[in-house]
Amino acid sequence: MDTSAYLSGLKYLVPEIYLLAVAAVSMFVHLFVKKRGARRAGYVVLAGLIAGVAVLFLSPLSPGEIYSGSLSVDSFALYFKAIFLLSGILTLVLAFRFFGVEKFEAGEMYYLIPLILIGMTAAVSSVDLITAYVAFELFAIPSYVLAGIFKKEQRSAEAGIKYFFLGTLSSGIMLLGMALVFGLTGETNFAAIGKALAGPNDHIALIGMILFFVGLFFKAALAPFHMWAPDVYEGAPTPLVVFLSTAPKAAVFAMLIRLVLTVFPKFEVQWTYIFQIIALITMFWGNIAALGQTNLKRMMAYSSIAHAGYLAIGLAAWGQLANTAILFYLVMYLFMNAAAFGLILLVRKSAGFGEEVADLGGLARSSPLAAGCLLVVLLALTGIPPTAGFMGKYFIFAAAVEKGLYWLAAAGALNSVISLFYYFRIGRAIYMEEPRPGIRFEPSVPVLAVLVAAAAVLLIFGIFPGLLTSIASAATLIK
Amino acid sequence: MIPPGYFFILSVVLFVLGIIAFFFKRDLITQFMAIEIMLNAANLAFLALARSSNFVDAQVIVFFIITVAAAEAAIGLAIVLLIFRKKKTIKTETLNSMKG
Repeated sequence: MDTSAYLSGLKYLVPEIYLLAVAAVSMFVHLFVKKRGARRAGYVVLAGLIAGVAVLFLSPLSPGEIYSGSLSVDSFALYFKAIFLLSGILTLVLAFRFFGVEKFEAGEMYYLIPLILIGMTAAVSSVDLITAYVAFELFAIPSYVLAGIFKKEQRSAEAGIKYFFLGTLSSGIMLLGMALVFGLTGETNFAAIGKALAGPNDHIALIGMILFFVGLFFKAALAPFHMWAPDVYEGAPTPLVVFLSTAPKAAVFAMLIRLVLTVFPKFEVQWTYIFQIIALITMFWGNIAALGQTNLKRMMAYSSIAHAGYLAIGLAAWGQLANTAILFYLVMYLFMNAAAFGLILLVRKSAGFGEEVADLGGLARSSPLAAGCLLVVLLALTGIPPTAGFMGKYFIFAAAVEKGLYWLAAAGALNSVISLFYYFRIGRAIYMEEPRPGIRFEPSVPVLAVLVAAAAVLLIFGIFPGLLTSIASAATLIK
Repeated sequence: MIPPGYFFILSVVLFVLGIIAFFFKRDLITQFMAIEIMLNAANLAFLALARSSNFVDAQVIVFFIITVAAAEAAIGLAIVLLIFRKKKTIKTETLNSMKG
């Protein structure tokens, strides 16, 4: 490949280059603006990400694989990139509130977000082992810093170290899996590996696939590889949890979809079983562990694990319908999680934010708007119509039924019932309990904006799911 | 000459040792070393498998992995240092402020 081909390929990388520029500008603002430089760096990133949505949709899609078969900028990648940008925007809006209240403004945090986004956008479009690995680490390594960035709080440092250790452990396991897959085939391009593996049955390749997946399961917090998630989500600063619990998960699911489609089509029977078991364990573990929690962040951490389990059903029921359902559900999951963690930023205690479920008592009286939005979000999390949470689950279970996985769909429905118990506890605290002494509610504009946006999105796509499913089904890799 | 298959077996043994050390040691720096051993075991696996069938790409991959491992080491040691400043110890049993 000559130089001109490299240069002409750059036009497909405009979103990544743009994000790098946003991060660089923000970094300089943080360094050189004397007055409130950190906050202004944050504004630069927020403006940059909002404009980034336009950049994303204006930049061209590649006709096939580019750069000697290492990247494929297709509509599937574009869909996920839009999810990442949305996740970054929601996080930043909440972060301004959080760090303003805590009087701790870490400017680095703001430009780490676009840097992580570069890793993710590269990861979802990579179709090559080396590119996928480097992109994976490109978003993983800065996210360890994000979890530990709130240096005032001891729990944040603990979250950082736990995330780092389990994250690097998972990438080590993934790497060994890659080594096996590469060593057998000598190819790094996904499709080429898939072709080379299509020969006689090979147990080494199967082990390689399992190790590869285990690494990714760690990152997506799928049980039994989820142990780090509750601690990290509890200890990390709340707005950043919105980011850490949605964007990496979406990136991993995108990578898994690409992998099973191109690299491991031969082991379809095996990975279908793997995903079935993983989905089953993850749903039950997440929901049952959430039942006993009194800390709101920890409860929502387990709830987000359970939701990853529902998404894994979509992988087990592999097909066009299931893929559309995953893409639909990931967007809804983003808004549900943003509102569920944003909720914590409404509650002020004498020292910091109220994180207990009981701290929410009396919210309905002091802020009816926030309480109303939260009701919609809780209905969506449980999966009750007319919200998009119901439609998302309906599509996923329908895909499972279509593939004859009745028991998995039934288990999913049973889990929705289990989850009702703990979501109901949040609702009861908001609407029926008396306010606790020493708690006050400060519904600030940015937090309310996120809650209203989440409720609106969940209602609109709950009533008119076709608006998004048509886009999602066009973006799936299986046509 | 030692056959490349032996190197592959060595890499798997190293990897397993790394995992065992990671889960049984109670010290952040030792756990960190365990992870480094695992990453390097994966490197060795890449090279051994590639040597046995003459895949040149493996050497490129190993360069990338070494670079990424260096970045990981920088971040990891920084976080360990943060923990040490907060707690004056790097024993893992002190990391217990969150339960459930």
